[in-house]
Formats: sequence, structure tokens, C-alpha cells
Amino acid sequence: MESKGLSVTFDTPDGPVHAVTDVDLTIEKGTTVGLVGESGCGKSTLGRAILRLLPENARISGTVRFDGTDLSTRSMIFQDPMTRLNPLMRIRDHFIETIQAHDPGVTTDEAVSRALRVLADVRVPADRMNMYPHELSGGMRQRIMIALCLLFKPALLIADEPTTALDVILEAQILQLLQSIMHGYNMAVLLITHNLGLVAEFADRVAVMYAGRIAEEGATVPLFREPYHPYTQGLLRSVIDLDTTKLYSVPGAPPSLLGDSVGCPFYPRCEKRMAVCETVFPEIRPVGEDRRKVACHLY
Amino acid sequence: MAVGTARGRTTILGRFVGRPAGRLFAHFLKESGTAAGIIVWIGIGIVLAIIVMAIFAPFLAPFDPNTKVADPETAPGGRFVMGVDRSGQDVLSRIIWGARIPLAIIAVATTISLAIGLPIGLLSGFVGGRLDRILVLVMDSIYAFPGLLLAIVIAAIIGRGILNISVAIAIVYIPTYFRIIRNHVAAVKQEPYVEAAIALGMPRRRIITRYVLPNVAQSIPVIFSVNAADSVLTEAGLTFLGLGLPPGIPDWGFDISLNWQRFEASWWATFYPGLFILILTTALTFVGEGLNDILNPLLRKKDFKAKVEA
Amino acid sequence: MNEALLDVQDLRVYFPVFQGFVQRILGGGDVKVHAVDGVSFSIAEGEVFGLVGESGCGKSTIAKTLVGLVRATSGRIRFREEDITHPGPKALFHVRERIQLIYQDAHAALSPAMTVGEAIADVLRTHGLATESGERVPPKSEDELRQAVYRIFDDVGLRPPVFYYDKYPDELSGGQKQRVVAGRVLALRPELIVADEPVAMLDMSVRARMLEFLLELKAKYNLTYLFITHDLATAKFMCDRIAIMYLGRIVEMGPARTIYADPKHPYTRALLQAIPIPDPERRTKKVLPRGEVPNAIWPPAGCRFHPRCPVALATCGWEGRDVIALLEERWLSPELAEREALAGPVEEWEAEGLLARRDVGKSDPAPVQVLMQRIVQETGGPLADAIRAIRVEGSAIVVEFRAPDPLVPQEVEGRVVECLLY
Repeated sequence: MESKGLSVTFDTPDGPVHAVTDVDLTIEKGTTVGLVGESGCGKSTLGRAILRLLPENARISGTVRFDGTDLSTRSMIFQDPMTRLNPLMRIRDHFIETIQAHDPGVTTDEAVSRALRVLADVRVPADRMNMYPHELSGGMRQRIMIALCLLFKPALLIADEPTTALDVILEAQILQLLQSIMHGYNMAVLLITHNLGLVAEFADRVAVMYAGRIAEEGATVPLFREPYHPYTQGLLRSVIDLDTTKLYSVPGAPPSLLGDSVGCPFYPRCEKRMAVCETVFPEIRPVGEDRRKVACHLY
Repeated sequence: MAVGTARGRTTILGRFVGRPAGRLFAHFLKESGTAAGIIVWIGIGIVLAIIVMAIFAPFLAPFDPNTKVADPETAPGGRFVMGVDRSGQDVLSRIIWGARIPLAIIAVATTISLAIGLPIGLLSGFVGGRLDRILVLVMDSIYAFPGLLLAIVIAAIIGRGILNISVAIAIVYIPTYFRIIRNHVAAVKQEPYVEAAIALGMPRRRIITRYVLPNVAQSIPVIFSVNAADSVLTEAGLTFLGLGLPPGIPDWGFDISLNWQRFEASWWATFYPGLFILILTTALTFVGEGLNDILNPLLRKKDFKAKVEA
Repeated sequence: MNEALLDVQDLRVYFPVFQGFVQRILGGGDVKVHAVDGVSFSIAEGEVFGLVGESGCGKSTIAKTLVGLVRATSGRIRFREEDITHPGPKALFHVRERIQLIYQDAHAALSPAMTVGEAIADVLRTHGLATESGERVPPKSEDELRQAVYRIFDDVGLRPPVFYYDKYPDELSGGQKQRVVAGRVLALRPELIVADEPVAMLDMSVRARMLEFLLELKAKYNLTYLFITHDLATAKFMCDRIAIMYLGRIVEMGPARTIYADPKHPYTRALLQAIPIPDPERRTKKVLPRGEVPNAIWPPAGCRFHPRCPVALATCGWEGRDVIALLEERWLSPELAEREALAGPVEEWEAEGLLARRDVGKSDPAPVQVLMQRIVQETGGPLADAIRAIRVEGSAIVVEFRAPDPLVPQEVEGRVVECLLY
């Protein structure tokens, strides 16, 4: 998948909100890309924009292209599986409905057997087919959501905060599951999350978003080892892990995305800011090796 | 930021109604340009016009409404803009004077409904348990009755008089307040901030008045307006059936009962009272529905903002 | 000298499960959610005690029970020698002046119809202002009250206080709201604050600020914290002692440093291993426990973690349900399911405590018995060792387990562990 200049603006009663501005993102076949950022940075909106799942008051500009077959399917799994599954439908009906919506000619029996195959891939026992969502555990529901996405052998799976609602062990299990599925289905994954640990474990490449734009992008290992953008640096410093001895937070708060802005959005909070940062927006450009790109005047 | 002196009042009204009501009002004013806002203003305008008309009846009405001023059943025209009814009375004057009774009755009735329905709904929703179950049963039973029918029965039992009709109508609408408030309260009761208030040791009464009621209050103006609209029709129905008033007092519903049999001969005497009943009802409905569109999205918008930021 | 500020002994909190009328007749017996199932710990004055566990382990229930929002089913809670397990209304009012709760979701904890200044003022009006001598007196005037609220805003870093007084919650940021909630709680001058996931809903880049704030408050007001979280990394930084909870029980408890350096309980180890490390150069292959946390209505027998534990023993509490789960997992593979269809389907099996039974009706039970024996032998492991016999009873096959060893908390190398490995 390749996006160029992708921008999403919401028309709200308070004015235009620029949720996503000018994003160029490339995801190669069979790889994982982690899209990292904090609340309000636009990462979820970007995910939905790729899938054309935006509400009515959104205006999109820019392009999104899928290489290879033009209509190759993409799929999305959502954060809270309970609200995305219809509580009034049994699991098997979810599958039948989804399959038949896509291929009206498929019979119920064929649909059921396809469903069973996919459920086996996510290690959900067959007897869960006849149950309702509320009868199942959170992890089970998450697996079923993934299974529903796998039905059409998507080339790209977009996972939007797939584990925030779950707990650490479950989180790790789901991620292991995704990893094993990826190889089996030759699927690319766009992992949208605020959890840097997940991205470090899972992604081949990372894109860091701030205020609707990509601040830095690159291969995971070099980016973590040596982040270039001050925001990325700040973010990595503020993560609390088992080795943390000193606490650090990035001062200030993210800017409002309402209306037009001038200059670098990170300017007010940046420890390394310069005069030019206030008035001129730094375009994202390649820096160093490993196809790293940074949007910062320091480079 | 300067603190307004008006807000310094320590009465309950000032504290919990003043500021949230102020915010709702401010939002309401902001939304005035929208379609919903315009509708509300039109509705309010009409209602106010009718109220003014009723208050200044002695100055506005060209004739005394109870005096024969011309040949019966004279068509509209000339001095009699709306014609003359079968008793020779000027219809226009009767319309103007006839606004007083409906307005008075509605004012009293909706106030009684609110004064009784609100506290009971609050209590029932918050306390729950057996009391709640019993009250819900009672209120649903009353609610199940067709409003007009129930009002007729009650009015027939308690007798004539303006206050009595008001009470009859009030009883019919109490369940509406009760149900909506009670359900809203039951929902709010589950909210974390109520739990937090309990954990902070707030006495129950305080929780109901300061934490639950203000968050439930947005429903009230809407119910109030819609109820008022409905009461107009009920009142007209009662007076039409001759159940309410001491004779000799002009009232729209009553006038219809006087004149409808002579519709072919003097349609104006029936038409105009009916029209004004319709206008008042519609105006009140505009206010209610428009307020609903404005006030409820206010909540939804706040929820939306919180989720977007997540 | 550190006396125990809070002492909890064998606390149990059970919630009734709402069952329809018919279900109750058919199901029989009282069904309860064993949210907290025998928890004992004590907190010393001035320490930060961490209660760590995944969702559903009971930690939030403990928080609510301590503040009197939920009633303890049995056990004892003592605050400085005073029994507060089932306080009457007046006692509860005073307990709340000593133990308070900070919420995970600060926005939800504030009434949207009330300004934040009013929210704090209300608490002061109800409980009175704290004086130097530690008493509480009603405020003499609106102005005195307002000044007190300003002081609290100042204390929690919301400056200038005048600016914040008239703000509504939806006009503030997440961090600011959390400070208001803290201020509201501090108005009561509590000694013990239970912080239930105070930073879970905040962005990573601002969590540190909130944690520092909590530590500042602790120093300034001589507070003791019960810090509840699912995040082991945060707990490691913040807490002096921690207790790891699983399905209503504490599995390991002791000084934080000791436990993190050398976790003894398999669940603790699993948690630590599962945490994603933000360092891609240290990717490790994780060995994760099977399955998920079971529901708290029917907790597993013996050690509750045994069905998922990678190092379980034969005596850890294996029972009928476990063999059924085994069959279910085994038959995820369609080939095996087909080959062993004789013993299936899974729905035909019933668990009764230490037994698992399958009635074959008119068919011959013998081949099924043989098949089950083979399956068990193939599986091996502690489950197989725990089976006493697979026999035929009438028209049914019965798998019988040995009774588990009793589980007793042991003191091991400076901490307490509840595990048969020790």
C-alpha cells in the first residue's frame, strides 16, 4: 500500500479539524508497519482513511494505492471487540452474513466450513460458533474478529489498538497469533497503537505521528536505537519500563488540530527548537540510512 | 476570571440550577441560527404573543365577549373581523379573551405535574427497590389510559372549576414526567461520578439534588413544552364537553362546543377557536422539539469530543 | 516506627449472579462471582503498596470495598486497630475521612454539571474544613470556603486557582482533571489513598508527570498509597511492596525489589515475560501461559493458575474440567477430531468436581475407555499424572482425578508465595 499526500479534514461546528495532513506512507507486502502516536495524533483516522471508513463530515484528499491487484482486499480489526460484534447474532451468523455479503452465491454450508477453517487458524474451538458474543471471553472475541477479517485473505490487515482493552498476557498472545497468521497468509499488517513496546516487538518499520503528520519514519531497530526527531526522542524517554529509574515527561500538551497552523506543530514543546521552527513547517525528508525520514529542521 | 455576583447566591436554585442552566441557555443562544433554533424562536414568539394577547385582552378586544353586539351569525367583514357567533357575540373578542383560560389552566397543570412528577421520579429512580417497582406500576397504569378519557373521568369526579380541571390534567401528565426522569436518574445513578460522590461521604439527599438532578435537568424543558402542548388539547377537549368551566367565561374549546352544530351557517365561529387551539399547540410543540434537538446534541457532542480524544 | 496502617485478613467479596427464575430452578444453588476470595495483606504507614494483576483479578473490588462502596462478604479489615469491615453509617462517614479513592477515569469521576471548584467546595461543605489541630469545622462563610478551595487548587498545581474554579470538567485536559480528582480527595485529608489505575488512561508522554505529582503529594501530606495497576513496569517504579493477584487471590507478595529480581510464582514470571519491551534489539521468544483467565464464578480447583501454568505439578488441582478443556484443544485440529470422534463431541462430556463423565448410551463404552487412555497417555504431563483412573461406570466413561494438595502461602526468600513448587 502506498499513500501520497493523504489528508483528512473534519468539518465540525467549531471549524475544520485537520486530523491528518499530508501523509506519505508505504507498506510493503508481508511486512509490519507500526503507526505510533498518542491520543489525538490522527493515527486512527489515518487507518480509517485507508479503508474509506470515515464519517460523513470528513474530507479526504491525496491518494491511496494498492499495488498488485487493484481490488485486493484490506481489512480492519477494532479495539473493543464487544462493541463491534452484534450482540444479537450468534457467531456463526456473523460469519455467514459476512461471507454472503461478499459472495452472494455461497451456500450456508460452504460459508460455515470456510468459517470453521478460519476459526481453526485463530485457535477458536468450533463449538463457539453457536454462541453469542457476550458468552465469550474478551480474548476469544478478539480472535473471532481477526478470523472475520481473514475470511477474504486480505493483503493488508489494519489493527487499530488491538490490545489496549486486554491485559498483558492476552496482549502477547494475540500478537503471537498475528505473527503466525501473517506468515501463513502472506499478509502485511499496519499496527496502530500508542504502545511503543508492542511496536518494538512486532514491527519491521515504524512511523511516528504527531498532530496529524508523520514526524519520523524508519526501520524499527535503527529508529529505536537512534531516534532523530525530538518528539520521538521524548516519547522514548518517557516510556516506563522495567529498567526505568528516572521519570521523564514531554512538557506541554499536543496542539489543537482545529484550524490552520504555521510552523512545526511540536515547536512549543521541543527542547531543541530554533527560530525557523516557529514559522516554517519542516517537510519530511530522507535522513541517513535505512530509508529513514524525518520532518525536522535540525536535519 | 471574574466571578459574577449573581452566581454568589447560595440558595439551591442558584447553585445547581443557575450555572448549568446558564450554560444550557448560552448554548441555546449559540445554536439560534440553526434550523432547530429558528423553530424554537418561532414557537416562543407565538406563545408569547398569545400570552400578551391574553393579558391585554381588555385593551385589545374590540367588544365585550359576552355581550350581543350584532345580528347572530354575521359573516366576517367590516367591524367583525372574525364574524359573529350564534349568540351575536364578536368572535375576535371571544378569541382574545378566550386565551386566558387555556393559558391559566396549562400553567397551573404543568406546574403541578412538574412539582409532583419530578420529585417522585427522582426518588424512585435513585432509591430503586420495591418502592420503585410499585411506583412504576402505578404510573404505568395511569399512563396507559388515553389522556383525554382519564381527564374526563377525573374532572367528572372532582367537579367543575378552573383549579379542578388543572388538577385533572396534571394527574394525566404526571406519569410522563415520572417515567422520563426516573429512567434518566436510574441511568445517571450508574455513572462513576455518583459512585465517587458516595465514596466521598456525601449524604444521599445531597447526591440526589446536586449530582443527579443537574445532570437530569436537561430533559425537563423538553417534557415541559411537549406536555404543555398536549394539555392545550386536553383542556380544549374538557371544556368542549362542558366539563370545566363556570358558564359565561370565554374559552376556545367551549366556543367550539357552542357553535359546531351551526358549522354550515357560521363556520367562522367554530373555525377560529379551533385554529387558535392548533396554533398554540403547534407553537408549544415547536418549542419542545426544537429544544430537544438543541439540548440533547449538546450532551452527545461532549461525549463525542471525549471519545475523539481517546 | 511503622505500624500497620491497614490490615486485611481473609477478605472475601462475593457478588450474586443475576439468574432468571427458570435458570435458578434448573441450575440449583447459589451462584456467585468470587471476586475476592481470601485475601490478606497489611500496609505500613508511609509506604506505597502495589496491588498488581490483570483485569478481573479482584483488585478494583478490593479498592471499592476499602472505601465502603462494596460490602465485604466475610473477613476483616482494620484501620489502625479499628475494625472497619462493616461500618455503620456514622462510622463509614469517618472512615471516608481517612481512606479515599482516586479513579482511573478522572473525567467520569466528575459530575459534568458541576464546576470543578464547586466539586471540591461540596466536599468541604459536607465534611468541614480541616484545622491545624486536625479537627473539622464548618466553614464560616462562602468566602472562607472559596479560599480553602483555592488553596487546594494551588496544592495540586492548578494555578492560578481563580482561573480554574469556574471551569467545567469538559473544559479541562485529562491531566488537569486527574489533579482535580486528587484535590477533591485531599480536601478530606485522608491518611490512606487508594489509587485505582491512576495513569492508565493518560498518554505515555504525560504519565511520568502524574506519577511525580502523586509522589509529591505523598511527601507533602504524609500519605500512604495502595497503588492498583495492571502495569508491572509502573508498579516497579512506584511501589515499595507489591502483591500480585490472580483470580481473587494473592499469589505472590513481598518487597518489590525482591520480587522483580527473582519472581517465584509462575504467574508473576509469565506477567514479567509478557511485557512488551520498547527495545527491538531485545526481542525474546516468549513462553506464554495457555488460554485466558477463567471466569470468577467457577474458579479452578486448587491453585487457580494450574490450567495455564507451564510448570504445574500433578497435585496442583487438576479436575474434571481440565480434561474436557484438553479434549477441546486437542480437537481443534480437524484430523484428530475426526479420528477420535468416538470419544467426542466435547459437548457430551460433563464435569463434576474431580470427575469427568461421558455417557455413551447404548454404545459400547469399552473402546471409548481405551481411546481415552491412549489420549491421556499421549498427552502426558501433570494432568495425566493426576488421573487416578479411567473407568467404566454403567453406560458412561469416567475419568477420575486424585485430590489436590492443600495450597498454603509459604515464605520463600523474603516474600510470600502461594504455590506448590515451594
